[in-house]
Formats: sequence, C-alpha cells, structure tokens
Amino acid sequence: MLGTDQILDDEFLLRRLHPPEIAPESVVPRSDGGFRATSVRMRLREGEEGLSVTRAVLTSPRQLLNLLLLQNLSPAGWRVCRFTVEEVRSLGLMVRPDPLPEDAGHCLIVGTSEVAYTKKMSSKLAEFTRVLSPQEII
Amino acid sequence: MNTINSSEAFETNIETWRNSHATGEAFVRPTVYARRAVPDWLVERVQKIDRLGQLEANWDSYGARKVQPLSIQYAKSALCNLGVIVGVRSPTISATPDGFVSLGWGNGEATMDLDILPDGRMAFSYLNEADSSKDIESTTSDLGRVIALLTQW
Repeated sequence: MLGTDQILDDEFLLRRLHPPEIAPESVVPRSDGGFRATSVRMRLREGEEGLSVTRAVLTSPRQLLNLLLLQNLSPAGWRVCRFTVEEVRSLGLMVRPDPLPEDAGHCLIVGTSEVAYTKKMSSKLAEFTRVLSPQEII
Repeated sequence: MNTINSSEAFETNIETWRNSHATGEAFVRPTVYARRAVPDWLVERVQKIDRLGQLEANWDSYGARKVQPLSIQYAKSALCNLGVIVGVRSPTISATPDGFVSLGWGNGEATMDLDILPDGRMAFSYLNEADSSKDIESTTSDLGRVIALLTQW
C-alpha cells in the first residue's frame, strides 16, 4: 500500500473548481495555453488550517468530483486543477496528509515556521495550476 | 505606462481621493486621467458582482462563506470609480472563501488582487513577476493607492 506519510515530489495534487455558471470566476488563461485557477481559489478561509487538496495517486479527478455528491452538489460543470508536490515545496510550503473516510488522498497544504501561507503564496500556487480538460477527468 | 490620448481623456483631480481616504502612507501618486465615457465592460462587471449575492454558503465545496452584502455594495462603488480611470482594465470578479468580493487584474508581468472588505477597506496583493521587491500586500481605504498600482504597470 502506498504510504500516506511519504509524498513524492512528482506526485500530482488536485483541487476542485466551481462551474462557470456560478458567478465568481475561477479560472484565467495560462500564458502557455489552457487555463489555471485564479489566486482567490487557492486562498485559505480565516482560521482554516491548510488548503484542501487531494493526491491524484489515491483519488482520481473523477472520484474527486463525485465526492460533491456527498455535499448534495452535482458534479456537472465542475472542473479540476492539477499541480505537483514539488511546486508546492518550491514555495517553502508543506503537503501534510489528512486522509478522510471518503477521500483517502486528502491533504492540506500548510505553511511552516519559516514560511506562512499568505495571499502571495496563493497567487504563486495558482500560477502552477493547470485546469484539466474534460478528457483528463477520468 | 499607458499611452494617453488627450482627446479622449482629461486630467482628473486625485486630491479627492487623497483628502477623503488619506492614510498617511507614502507612495508616488501618478497623474491619472478619467475616461469621458463609461467603458463597455463596466455595467456587465457590476452586474456580475451583484450576482455574487445569490451564492449559498459552501458554493466552492470547500466551505466558502456567503458573500457579504456590504462587501458587494462597496465593491460596486469601488469598481464604478476605478472603471472611469484610463488604464484600468476589466477585472475578473470573484469571491474569497471568507465571503468578500475580490477583483483581479493581470498583465503577464504583474497581478493584483483587491478584496473588498465589508467595512469599506480594501485588502490588496500586488505581485510583480520580474521584480519581487515591488510586491506589496496591504490594506487601505485609499482608492488612489489602488489606482496608482493599476495605472503604472
């Protein structure tokens, strides 16, 4: 079994993005084509411990969207963005395993004693993201 | 720096903002110009801000709060003031997980996020890709300071 405390640099992390039909804009074009998440979508709520993400090696993009059903939300139209553990660590942030009963791959991106998870960090993290195409949602 | 066509714009009095929202913070205020007409995008953007009020809690599936009505009101006001300034482009309209309206701009070299707080203050994060020494993260009541950043990149 793949250990949850050993998260490799080249692993992908996933985060859901709400559908475009919902008013707030969640994606912007990437400079090299495609789309990325807006920085606001990578922000923490006040008092939130870390940014919720999922390890793609344990939870697929489709599974991540299907988890919406547990919140009485329809997965239709929702998107998933992807970035690597290495990119998170390059900012000095940590990826901490936080498995949930319904999502074994759940992790939190958290700051450290040296590096806080600031708005600046959320902007830099957003720059790394790439929104998956519908064909990649499997 | 933006190219100003004097036939389309006229110098506006930024002292209004300086006097009404003075914070004592020192920075260079540029000369700004007001558009003679409302830009095409402004009405649609303001309507988009209004629609944020329809969102239920947890609209992002990660526990986001409902967008606060006062944040919506102040955001519409701020955008109407920003929209008439030459060089200020159409922002992305979003909401923060804490329930504040957030306006965003980017030009490939710099990004600016402006969160509108329910007390009327604005929390902004300006990031310069080429020169991180120019990065600024602060809170202000001074719209002139925001305009200075948005018209100088």
